[in-house]
Amino acid sequence: MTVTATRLAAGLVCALAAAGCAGARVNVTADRARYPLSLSPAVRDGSGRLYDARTLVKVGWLDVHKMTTGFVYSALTVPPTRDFSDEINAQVTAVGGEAVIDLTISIGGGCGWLNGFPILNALPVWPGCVPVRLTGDIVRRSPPAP
Amino acid sequence: MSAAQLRVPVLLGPVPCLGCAAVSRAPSAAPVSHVASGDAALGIFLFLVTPVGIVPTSAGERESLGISPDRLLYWTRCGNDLQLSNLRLRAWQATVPIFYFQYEVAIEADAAEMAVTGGSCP
Repeated sequence: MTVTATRLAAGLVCALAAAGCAGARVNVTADRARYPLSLSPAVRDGSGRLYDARTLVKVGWLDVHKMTTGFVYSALTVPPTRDFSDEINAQVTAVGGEAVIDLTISIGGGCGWLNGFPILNALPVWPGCVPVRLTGDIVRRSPPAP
Repeated sequence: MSAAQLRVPVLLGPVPCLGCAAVSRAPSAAPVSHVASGDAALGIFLFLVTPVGIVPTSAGERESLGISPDRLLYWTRCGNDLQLSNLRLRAWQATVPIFYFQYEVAIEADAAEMAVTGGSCP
């Protein structure tokens, strides 16, 4: 009984010693975007008029991914801020859009195995990550009815 | 995070409207709302003894985090816009091999209501 208890205790100590965590945290910006980006289906023009699905036409699909890596149990992220402006500007310009609506900000899959990697994630140098994905509809105003 | 149920623009970035240039909007006098989405889970690893051998699996509890813009900001006045700032995302996972796991993915932001001159309603 004592041997069994000792083994159990040793196993528990080993498991706790191998306990670890990993991840990353990142600030997301679009400070240099040249187009309005709306998380809702609505956007205004300069006069304050509201445009939505009835008065906008979809001309493309925005899809931008960026992976950010963290270290020291997610306390240190490199870089701490990710700006998506250049990718958004390029995709909207490419299809002749005027805005992005229904913008969705999500954390994609693909980092679970890294963040949860057994034993190695106990090491502070083991990297974690956060995969950021922005998607949305690229739109422009509908031409006026004749 | 999305705001697909809202009827007013929920803006990220400096451009407030179609055909407009980037502007630095004055801070809103209205209180800033904290919106978030994501989920978290914690659980234990299980090793089921079956006729075909020991099958690893897990059991745990999962919960949604935060209050989404759709719920928190649904009643925003239709003549105004919402401006998001301080958008931050995190993914994190902890494991104690063989015994325990915990993970969290979260997206958080601050949302401020901005008055729009001549702002119309649907």
